[in-house]
Amino acid sequence: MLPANEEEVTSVIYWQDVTREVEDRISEGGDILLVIHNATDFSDLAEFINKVPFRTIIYISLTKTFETIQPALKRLSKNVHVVDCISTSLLSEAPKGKCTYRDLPQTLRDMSKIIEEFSMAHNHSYIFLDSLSHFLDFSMPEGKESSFMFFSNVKEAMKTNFCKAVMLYSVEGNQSLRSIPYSHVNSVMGVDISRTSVDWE
Amino acid sequence: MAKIMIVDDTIDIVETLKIALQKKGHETNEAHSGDEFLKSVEEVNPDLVLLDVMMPGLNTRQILERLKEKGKEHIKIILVTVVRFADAERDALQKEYNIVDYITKPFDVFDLLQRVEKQLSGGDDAPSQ
Repeated sequence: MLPANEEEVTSVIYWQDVTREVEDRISEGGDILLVIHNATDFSDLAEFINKVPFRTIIYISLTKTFETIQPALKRLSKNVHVVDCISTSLLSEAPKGKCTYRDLPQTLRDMSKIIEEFSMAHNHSYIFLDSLSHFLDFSMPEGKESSFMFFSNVKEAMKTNFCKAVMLYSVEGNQSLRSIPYSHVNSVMGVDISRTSVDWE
Repeated sequence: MAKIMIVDDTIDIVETLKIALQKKGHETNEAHSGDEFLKSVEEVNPDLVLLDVMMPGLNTRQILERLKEKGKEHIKIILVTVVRFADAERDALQKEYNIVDYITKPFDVFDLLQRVEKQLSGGDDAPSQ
């Protein structure tokens, strides 16, 4: 038995740098692709979204209103339908954007129902969820159990409706990812976005 | 010294803010849901509230409406949130409720403290990003 103040390594995560074959890796991603990223705005992810092989994307947003997403949609070569789950909980005027509005899901079960609903309505599409970090914290060990049913339900819906799910999970700094649910998602990918100021002359 | 209520369901964030604000000499109270906040807001009568936007239970609009019903709409609110708003949406919220600033998560604690102090000393008209 270890003394109380000593620590032992419980897991080691290996990352592979993929820069050229990103499209292939996304295609091979299976039913559920978990994307760990450091993006803050929707536009930061535009390049990644353009690499998705299917033309139709359902983007379920828990963290960005449709109004904030809309300007960047023009830069995408995909047909993106936004499901805005945040505006109705904040804005008193009925939002009028060309998207679907839903109330913010309270539980992972509610979340999986929304994913199931849109995968049924839009076969052969990629369903993005922004962001899984609203429900799960991979730095905490208890995330493993609570996510099992959610991923099982999503996987089932993806298979039935010929869709693929992309779960976005945002991280900041060196945040631990010790409970990434390897057994439930088919593939994990990291997207590291660097920013620098540009002088336009 | 001011009375500041921290309303957030993430314990780590509540603890971080509590320590930082207490070090600045402020009195802090905490609530972990909209319901909990509304139950204690009259008794605490805070000068400023740091309000998370995505908590289980009541949504933000419901919380702000019930605060109005309690006659506490004058309390200054800073939204601390991962949610990205468009400028027009922020203006609309500011017109309707006493939201004096928006702080996006992840936040820098020193920046947050500066913005809290700014509001406690009178603030200005336009919330900063």
